[in-house]
Amino acid sequence: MFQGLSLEQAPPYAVPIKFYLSGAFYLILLSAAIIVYGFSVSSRFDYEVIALTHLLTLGFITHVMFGSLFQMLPVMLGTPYTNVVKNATIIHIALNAGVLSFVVGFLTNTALLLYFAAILLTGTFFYFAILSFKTILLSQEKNTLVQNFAASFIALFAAALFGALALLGHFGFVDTLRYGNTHIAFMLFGWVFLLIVSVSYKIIPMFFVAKEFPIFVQKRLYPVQLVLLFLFAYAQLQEKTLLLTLTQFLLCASVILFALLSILILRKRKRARKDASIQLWYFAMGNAILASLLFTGADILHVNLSFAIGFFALFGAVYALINAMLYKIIPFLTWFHLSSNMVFDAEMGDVIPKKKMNMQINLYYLAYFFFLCTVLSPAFIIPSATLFLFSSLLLLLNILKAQKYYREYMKKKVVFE
Amino acid sequence: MTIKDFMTSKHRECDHLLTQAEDFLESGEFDEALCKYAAFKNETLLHFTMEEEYLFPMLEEKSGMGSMGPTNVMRMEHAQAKSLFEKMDEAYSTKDKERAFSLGESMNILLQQHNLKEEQMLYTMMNSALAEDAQEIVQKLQNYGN
Repeated sequence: MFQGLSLEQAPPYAVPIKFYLSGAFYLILLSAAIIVYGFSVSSRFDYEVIALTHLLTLGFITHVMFGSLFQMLPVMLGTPYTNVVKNATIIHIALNAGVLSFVVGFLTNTALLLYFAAILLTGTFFYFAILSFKTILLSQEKNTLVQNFAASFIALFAAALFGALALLGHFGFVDTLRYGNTHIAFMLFGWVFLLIVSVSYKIIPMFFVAKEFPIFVQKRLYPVQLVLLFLFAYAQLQEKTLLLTLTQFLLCASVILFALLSILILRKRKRARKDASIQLWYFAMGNAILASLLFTGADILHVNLSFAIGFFALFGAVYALINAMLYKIIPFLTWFHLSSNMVFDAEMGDVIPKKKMNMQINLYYLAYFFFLCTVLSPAFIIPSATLFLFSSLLLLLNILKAQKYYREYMKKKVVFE
Repeated sequence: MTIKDFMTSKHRECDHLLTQAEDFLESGEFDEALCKYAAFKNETLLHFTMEEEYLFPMLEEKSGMGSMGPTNVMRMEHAQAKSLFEKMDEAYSTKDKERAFSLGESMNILLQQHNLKEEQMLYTMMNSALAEDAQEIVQKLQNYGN
């Protein structure tokens, strides 16, 4: 039966905010870790690089994605997560324990911590994917949107599995490189990309009063992407070089197609007013295109561009997109929870001051620019990481500001006897 | 034309009026902005009235769902929008551009997610539960408020 967004379906305000705050905390750790370890890295296989990358992917990206899904999946599908508070708490604790074990395990080369991380993280991802899948199955709707979400969770399953195998590979059980590459492909081209795509289909028309994505794209992109990913896995594990190159090329083509389409739709949006989140969206899409081109080019030309591809894909595209979404979601969420509690004095625009948001985003842009300059000299690592540290601190403070705003206004709630 | 088609087209008209008001606001044409905002408010409130006074009771009776089901959630969201209108009135009449944009943002997101639910679920239910009288209902909706 119909279940609209109301407080019965949405989780308590504290659930997503807890995940967002943790995400920002890991960005601070990441910035500090870059200052300490940034100079000593030389290859993407260095244990320090694996630790730093996962501070961003597991620490920040996963936290924000999980927190947002707990809040938004019920809105989009009309079905709540079961026992959301209990399940979110379990996942939050397990994820944090997993991330910290993983990072410390790699930085100190401690096998026991890495085994512990493998169990915790695989368990957390599986648990979250099953929980979300169950939510999808309970939804009365089985439309394209639901199918897109389901596809992203299938990719998450596979990514977690290959990630665990790659981790075990560090102890000689399997070939780490091949499983690691498959893990990265499923994570980036599968879970992250398909989730962003699924959310965009609804969010872009909703937030920016823009046209819907073409139905053909909504229906065909996700199965094509899944088939390509499984072909990629087969080619990677069986060492079929030609098939591997072809699937890589087509996976990149999907990303470029989506990025260009979203830019086109946003440029034609009815709500023409520019804001920081639109700029960040364009910036992210530009970076996604650049990363995809470099990924394809590096393969064809046989050059090693791993750092550049990782930087543009993760720091330039995924991070920017999440930053943009956070500044749309958090103020609305805060205002919505307050007005649903009959507190009508609050205003969305006051939840996080615009000035503070812009300051944080500008610091991020500046950090991005200085990171690019490390090509000229590694000395640029220090100012770039420092700028990103300030940006991350400000992001954390901005989320805390929203939480404080919510608490203060909730005190004004009128309780009817 | 089905009930769903008609009501959905009304949602789009309202969206359009709000974006027009904001375009005028952006270029500093306050009188035109106020005029479009007033049209947006009137259309939206008329739309709420059509639903609350006419369509919802009819659907509740015909489907036997009662007034505590999905229509109740919609009524609550209408109340949220009405509280925003009071603030938007203030912002537009005092020519407070930034506040008007900020409140417009809240109104836009609230209405979009509200409309989505109506269009995906409620209007579809209306189309099937009230199919027999659809033509007459749409005609009455077209003349509503006149």
